[in-house]
Parts: sequence; C-alpha cells; structure tokens
Amino acid sequence: MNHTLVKELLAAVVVLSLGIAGLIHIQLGAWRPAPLVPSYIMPQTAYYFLIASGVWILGAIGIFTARKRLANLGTPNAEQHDLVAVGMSVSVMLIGAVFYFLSVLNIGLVVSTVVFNAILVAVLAPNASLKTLATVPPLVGIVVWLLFVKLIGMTLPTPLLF
Amino acid sequence: MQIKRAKIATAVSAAFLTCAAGLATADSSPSLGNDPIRIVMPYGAGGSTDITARIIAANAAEHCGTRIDVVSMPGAGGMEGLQFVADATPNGHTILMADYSATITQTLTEETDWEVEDWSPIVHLTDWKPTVYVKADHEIQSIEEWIELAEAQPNSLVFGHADPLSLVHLPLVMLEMETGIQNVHLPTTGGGETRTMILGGHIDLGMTLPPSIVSNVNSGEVTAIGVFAEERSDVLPDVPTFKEAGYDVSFEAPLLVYTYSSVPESIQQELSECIMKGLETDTAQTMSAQASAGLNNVQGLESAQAIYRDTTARVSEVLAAINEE
Amino acid sequence: MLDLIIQASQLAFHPYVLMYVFLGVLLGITLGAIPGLSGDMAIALLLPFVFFLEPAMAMGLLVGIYKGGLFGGSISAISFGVPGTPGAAATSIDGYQAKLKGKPSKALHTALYSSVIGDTTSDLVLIFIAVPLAAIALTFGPIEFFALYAFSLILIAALSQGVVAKGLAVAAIGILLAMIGRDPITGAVRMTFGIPGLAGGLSLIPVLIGIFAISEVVFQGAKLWRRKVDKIMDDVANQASLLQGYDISKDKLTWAEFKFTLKATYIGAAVGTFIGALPGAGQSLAAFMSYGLAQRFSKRPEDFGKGSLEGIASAESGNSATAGSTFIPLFAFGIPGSATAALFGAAFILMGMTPGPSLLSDNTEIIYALFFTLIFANLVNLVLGKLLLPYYSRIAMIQPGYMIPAVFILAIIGTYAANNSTMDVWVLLFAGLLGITLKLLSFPLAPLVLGFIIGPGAERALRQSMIMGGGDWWVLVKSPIAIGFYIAAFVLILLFTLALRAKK
Repeated sequence: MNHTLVKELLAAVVVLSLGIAGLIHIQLGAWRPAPLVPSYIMPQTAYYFLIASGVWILGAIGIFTARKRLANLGTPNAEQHDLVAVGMSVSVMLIGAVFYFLSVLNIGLVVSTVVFNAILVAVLAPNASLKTLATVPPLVGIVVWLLFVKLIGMTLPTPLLF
Repeated sequence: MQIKRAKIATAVSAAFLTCAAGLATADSSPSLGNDPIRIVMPYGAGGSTDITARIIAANAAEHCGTRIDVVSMPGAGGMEGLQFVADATPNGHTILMADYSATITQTLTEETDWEVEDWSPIVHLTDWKPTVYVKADHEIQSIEEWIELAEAQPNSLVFGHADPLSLVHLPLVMLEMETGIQNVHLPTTGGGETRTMILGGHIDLGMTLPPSIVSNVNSGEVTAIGVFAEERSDVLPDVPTFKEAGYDVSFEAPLLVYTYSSVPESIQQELSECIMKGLETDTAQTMSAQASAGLNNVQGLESAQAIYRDTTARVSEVLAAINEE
Repeated sequence: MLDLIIQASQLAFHPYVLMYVFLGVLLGITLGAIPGLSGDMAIALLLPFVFFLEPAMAMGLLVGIYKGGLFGGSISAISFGVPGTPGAAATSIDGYQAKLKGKPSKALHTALYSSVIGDTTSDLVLIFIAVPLAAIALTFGPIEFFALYAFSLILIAALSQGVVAKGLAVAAIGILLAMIGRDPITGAVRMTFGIPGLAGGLSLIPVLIGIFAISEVVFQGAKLWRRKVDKIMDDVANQASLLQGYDISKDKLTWAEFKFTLKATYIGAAVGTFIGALPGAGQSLAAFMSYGLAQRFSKRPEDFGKGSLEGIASAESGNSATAGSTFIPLFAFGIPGSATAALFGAAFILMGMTPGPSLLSDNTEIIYALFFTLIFANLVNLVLGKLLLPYYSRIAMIQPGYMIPAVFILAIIGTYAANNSTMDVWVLLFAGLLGITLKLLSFPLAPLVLGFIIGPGAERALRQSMIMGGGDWWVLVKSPIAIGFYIAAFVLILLFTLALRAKK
C-alpha cells in the first residue's frame, strides 16, 4: 500500500464519518424549534458538504487507481511527516501545555513558565546545555511577567507561589 | 542627621499606625484590604457598560482606598465573567457589573452553578429604558399607529431586537401578551445591527436603549415612538411612555454592581458606600453627562436589592408565560 | 474651507500630538507583534486615559496604536508563523514560508509597504467618499449579506486549488466549529456536548492561533526533537554558519520585486477598503479574500503558499485597508462596523462627541485633524517600522531550539490574556490538535478559518432573510445586489475553470 493512498483513504473515512455522525446527531439531539427554518439548517448543510467531499475523495482514489496513476493522487508536493517525532512533540508540547496552564492557574505564572520552558528546551533544543538551561527559562519567565502582568494587567486567580 | 532622624520617626509612627489599623479591623467585622479591586463586566470592551465601569474605576478608587481595574470577560455569553466572580475569594475584591440578562434571565433559563439569590446587588447605577423606534419616513409614527396596523394585519411587521430574551426583547413579549398583537421577531447581533436595518429600511420596528439612538433621533433619521418605563427618558424627553398611551407595560432594566453573596456584609456595605461616594463627585458627574451614562441618581444597597427582587419576579413571570405558549 | 484646513492642521501637527502618535505606533507595533495581543486590546486599556487628554492627543495615541498594531500583527505572523492578530492570519501563510526560506527581511518589508499603501488608500477613501460609500453599505440587508457570504464561500472553494474536495470539507468543518454555542435565532445552546464553557461559542483568537500557530509550532518541535535524537547537534561552527549564512544584505527587497508585488497590493487595497466598509465583515475576511483574488490574477499563482511576496502583499494590504474604511459607518451613521470602530466610538463619546450623522458638522475641526492624523500615522508607521525591522528580522533568525518553546508559551498566555478566558486556552489546544490532524492528512487549513469566520454571519443572514420572507426560499434572490453577487460568483467560477484549462 502506498503512503499517499493510505492518507487519502483515511481522509475520506474521517470526513465521511464526521458527516454521518453529524446527521445522526441532528436526528437524535434536542433542537429547540425555531421559526420557519430549523436551527440545524447550517450544520446540516455542512454535514452534506462533508459527505459529498468524502465521496469525491473516494471517487478520485477510484479513478486514479483505475487509470494506474496513483502517483498523481493527493496534494501536489505534500510534506511527508515523521509520525514518531510528531507524536512525541504532541505529547510533550500539547499535553504538557494542559499541565502547564493548570499550574499557571493554581500555582503561579512565573514559576510554571520557567519550569515548562526549561522542560521544553531540555527535550527539544538540539544543543541545550546546562548553561542555556539556567539562563533562557528565567529570561522567558521575566519577559512573560513584564508583558502580561505589568504591561497588560492580565487577570489571574491569586497565585499560590509567584 | 536631623533629617535622617525625622525620617525614622515618621517611619516608626507610620508602622505603629498601620499596626493599630490592622488591630482595629481585626477586632471588628472583616473589611476591605489594599489589594486592587476588579470590576468584571460580562461584555466586550467598548460598549456603554464599559464606559460606565471605567467611570467608576476612575472615580471610586480614591474613596475605596485602592486601585480599581476593569476586566472584560465576554466568554461563554458572559457566563465566564459570572463564573470568575463566583469562584473568586469572597473578600470583595472581585465584583460584577451587569444588567439583569446575565444574572437573572440566563440563570433562570440555563444550567448554572448559582441561583439568582447568590448575587447581592450593592449599587444601583442607573435604569435603562427600552425604547421602540422606526425610520422617520415609515408609515408608523406612534404607538397607536403600530398597534392599529398590527391588529389589522397580524405578523406583517418585522421587529428587530438583539438576542432573544434580552432586555430589549422581553418588553415586546410583554406588550404582545397585554394587547394580543403579533409581530415577526427578528433577532440581531445587537443595537448596532438593529439600527442599520432600520436605517436601511429592511425592517419596520426596532428596540434599543436611548443613548444609542439619541443622535439619529435629533437629526430626524429615526422616530422613537415609545418607552417601556414609568417615566420618560431624560435623553429623549419628547417620547411618550407606553403607560401614557394606555398600555400597562413598563420594564426598565437596572444596571447594578454585585458581589457574590458569600462576601461578608460589612464589606458589601463598605464597597457600596465608597463607590457611591466616588460617583457623587463632580468629575464623575461630568464624565457621566458627557457619555450619557445616566449616573445622576445612583442608589445604594437597599434600593439595589429591592429593585433586584422586583426585576427577578417580573422576569420569572414573563419567562413562565413564554413557556406556557 | 482653507481656514478650516489650517486650523485642523495646527491641531493635528501640534508637537504633543505628534509625540503621542509616535508613542502609539511604537506601542502598537510592539504589542501587535506578540501572538494573541492586538491593538484593540491596547486601545481598550487606554480608554480611561482619554478622559485626561486633549481630544487631538488622545486621537493621535489611539490611531497610532491601531495602525502600529495592524502592522505588528504581521511581524509575528512572518517571524514565527503565529498571526499576532486575526487579520494577520492570511499573511502568515506566505510570510512564514518566506522566512523559512531565509527571506524574513524581504517578507517583512513587503508587509510593511503593502500595509502602509493599503492603509493610506483606505484613509483617503474614508476622507473623500465616506458618505456615499456608507450609503451603499447601508443598503445591505440580510439577503444581500447572505449573497456576499455565499460569494465568499465560493471564492474559498476556488482558493483551494487542485484539492477542491478537501477544501470544501475543511470549510464545512470550520462552519461547524462556528455553530457551537448559542443559536442566534432561538437563543438555545446547541452542539456544546454538555460543556458549559462552550455555551458562548468558540472565540476567534484561540481558533486562529490554534489552527495556524500551535500546529506549526508543534511540527517544528517534532523536527527539533528528531534532530536531537539523531544527534545532529548544531555544533558551534554550525550555529555560527546558521547566523552567518543569513546575510541581511542579500535579503533586501529589490525595486523590481517591490514593483512586482504592487498589483497584489492594489487588489488588497481595493478589496480591503470595500470589505472594511461593510459592518461586521472584518479584517480577516478582507485579508483572505484579497489573497484569493490576488492568487487568481497573479502571473505566478503557483508560488502562493510557498513564500510568495505577492501573497504577503495582498493579504497585508487587504488587512490594513480595512483600517480607514471601518470608520465609514461610524462617522456617517454612528454604527461601529468592527470591534476597533466600537472602541473609537466609545472614545468619541468619552470626549463628548456623539458618533453619527452630526459628528462631522458638530466637531468639524477635530475630525479634520483626525483625518490628518490618520494619514500622518501611516508615515510614522512606515518610518518606525523601517527602523525597527532589522532588529525584528534578526530576532526571527534566533535558534529555533530556544525560540519555539518561548513562542509556544507566549501563544498560550497571550490567548488567555486577550479575553481573560480559561476556556479559550483549552480551545486553543484543541484547535492545535485539530490543525495537526488535518495537516497530517494533507488538508489545507485556510478554508477552515474562513468557514469559521463567515459561518455565523452566513447563518444569521440566511435565517433572518427567511424570517423576513415568511419562509419562502425565493426571498434570497429578490434583491438586485444579491443577484449581482450570485452572477459574479458564477462568472468567477467560469473564469477560473477556463483559466485553469488554458494553463494545462
């Protein structure tokens, strides 16, 4: 199986299932009656579009396979992604961000920022050294504090630490 | 040397004074500290509530003894602002400024973590008077003409208002219940869009608050035909109330400052007094007059709580009537 | 008349006023360059000070912040792929690609020049034809607005070249995201899946930054991690070459390049001015529409999305060209057409001037002074921007290992600060995840954002039209302006198809 083919099939499946799930949600969900046009008119149209484009992508796969021109399938010059690295970075950055922001709310902006920045630099920067780890994160913490607390006056719950 | 000694003396006496002050307050009921106060308003920046909040911030600060910041939290239809105030430490440093749609209507119609009674109004800033208006060259130019036409041809007139169940929609529902007329209700994004549609001739009638149409009324582009209030509006003195026209419908919207009910009553009292003091100053009154904020008759705790109870009763009544339909 | 101009210019060119304009532009550029922060926010924060300033000075400060903020938004869009303001999202598509190709200075200069040209055009239009143009905008009712939105949606589909099916699917996802929250007609909460924080819908800033910036930053993080694991360490020599390899003298925008982007700039200026004058349409719609049109009329449409200077020019000029015209409805009718106009309206009120038809006749001098200030602030923006750019393009070349984490944190906190909203941060991270998934499946992202922006307006306009028309679908074609839009859409599709055929 060719890489692009898998990707295109997956795209079609995602789009189709979103569309179908949405239509089921419209059937089953509680929608407050609205005057003249139902309140799900826009979502419904969007789901139809999703299903139509899913069918379209599948059709394109079919045609290209039949004509044996699979190489032309998909987006021209699409980037190939390193799935392992993306998975790694999603878990460190996105999941890390959830914990980071929770700790900003509960522990304190500056402490959390310095720690989270240090973790990110340590994991991601190809040439992180102890020296940069000691200087860069505190600097980022200070900048964030100056900008958002001093200049903007951002509203945060009263912090536990700093 | 002399100067230095003087300095030390001042410092020492200052320290004593603060200690004494601290002891004094520790003895009696809890009071307001020196941390900044935040006025949360559950609306976007730039609206008329924003201006009012900033007038408070600029004038009440010295009387409340600390800085006052205005925080705009329009998230989740304003619910995020209410949530923030409800979750804050109950020391009176996070207060809310809102009309009744946020604290009463939404609390009654949506699932929220609080009840209507959980909000303690402390200052009654002003009353907004919902006003019905039409384009100047429209065939309807008075309350009577509107009711007549609507009775002759039900559902032929399109009436633009902001969000459904908002303070510029409920009075229309009440009037329809009172008179039995029927109009096409057209929700818009707010006063601005309603006015564009009126001026462009896309809809027949609209409802808004007086300050936002004063200039259009004075320039003769639109005609304000009636006010849902006990008395005429100060900025539109020529416009009759619906009561004068013989329809017993009046629904003024009080703009209130609230604390969450868990805030100690002594602090509520203190806040109420210092905000009132700030708003009674000449600067505050000049600012208010300039911005048509209507802060010339600010009322304290008792009045605020009375009007809040009253408004709650009326809103529940209208909502119950709507649900029966 | 001459007296008036002299008096107004004395007001506008008072040394203090000039100082405030400088201060405003400087603040605006700096704040706008931070992801999530915009000039609007700074204006809101400064509103109370308006009480204490002379009107001309206050106007100078606010206008300066506004204009600086518009351009500042493109700095972070180009340097880090993070649009600083919603309007800069279209700029980030090509701007960031250009920066990755080692041309940050060219990209930033193109952005600066097109921004100033677009802005100036828009200001001139405001000054000279404010009243007639506002009259056109006013004739737009729900029916016409729906036609405009449908027209824009068709343009989006045409924009996603080659993969129209995927473009449509993504636009539909964008519309669906925008449907979350309160139903505009009944007020009922819908599609929130029981999460109370979603009752007010998703805000624009977290969705934009999540889709465009978080996804990009995470992909950059992935690349960094791979290099670290594979021990492709940037040794000292390598590091030095990275900084030395970037030669700012080679990265100068040439006159020929500048001239080549002019067409795109003019398209952006025209589109932006028009869209800006329509109440509620907004900067991001203007930027994306200019981008789409410029691509269609470009001699090198294949470069778009790969660092095309034309792409930057069209998006940035479209974005900035809303700056003047957004005041047209405010000045002529007292109707704020955008958040910025609403803030200026509030400032007018604080200074005792009521926005509306009588604004100009009651306050002629100060409004003419404001006109001068609007134009003058563009000059200041040009000069300050030009002076600051070398520093900004150098910042853009800082080691990604340190830059990516910092930008990621700035995006998170900046998003929170914009509305003081915890929910916005969770939406930001969710949108980032969605952007990553869609990118992995090679979906284009721009149509999603456009669908998200115009979805609510299109729905409202559609349902308002239906209510006004009593449920008859024919009401949608009962307006000549609407029919004009539908015909224009049809003609454009035909033209695009023919042009594509001819190319193949």
